[in-house]
Amino acid sequence: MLALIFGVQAAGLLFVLRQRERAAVGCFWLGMVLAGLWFGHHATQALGLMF
Amino acid sequence: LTADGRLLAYRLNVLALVCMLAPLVGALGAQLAGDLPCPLCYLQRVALFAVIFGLVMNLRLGLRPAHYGISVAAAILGMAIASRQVLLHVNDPAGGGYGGTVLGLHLYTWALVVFVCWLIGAAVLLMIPGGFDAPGAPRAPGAHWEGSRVARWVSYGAFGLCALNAILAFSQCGLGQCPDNPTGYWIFGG
Repeated sequence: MLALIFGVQAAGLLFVLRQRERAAVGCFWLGMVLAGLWFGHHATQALGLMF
Repeated sequence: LTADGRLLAYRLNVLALVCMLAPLVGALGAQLAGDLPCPLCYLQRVALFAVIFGLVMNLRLGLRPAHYGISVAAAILGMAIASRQVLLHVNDPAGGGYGGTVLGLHLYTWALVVFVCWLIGAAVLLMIPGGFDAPGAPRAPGAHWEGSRVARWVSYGAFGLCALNAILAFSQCGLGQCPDNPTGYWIFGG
């Protein structure tokens, strides 16, 4: 999952460098949502909630 | 004053990008020396790359408040992640905590410091008079490196480092969950 998030971010950075702004912003928010979900999963798992 | 403010903001964005890449290069060095990152450590790197994302957008696509907003949103996520790891280890005995230290602070504590510093820096950058491109200004391909080789190479370096982290994260964790206390690389059977 972490590799996937880094991969999405790398693709987003490549889109920025190639001046594809809309695709880059899409990759940014996809990466943020995945990171937020993964962080939530980690935090709730420690509490025994298994999100 | 407007052109000066814009140039100053552009140069400060390059400086901020270098400052954001430095801890990532340091963390990569520690990883290659055998200090394997935990899942929260990787998530802090993700947040640092998200902050970098906004900075590279400023350098490549033009200086805009929305690009600072992207970096600030990422820094807030990064602060939450780093704060959680600091709080997890706050009651550890002296010398405890996860991984090695730099100047007496663990890497996740430094990450928290970096995110807070960036929030302050972003506030300053947003207050520079004339520090933005005019709304609707045309963007010719390649026009926004401002002739700065440093901006160009540091931006490409950020992309390369991000791709390298994707490879390392896959090597260590595969596509599943990373162990909390990793002892080796998944790809090598660790």
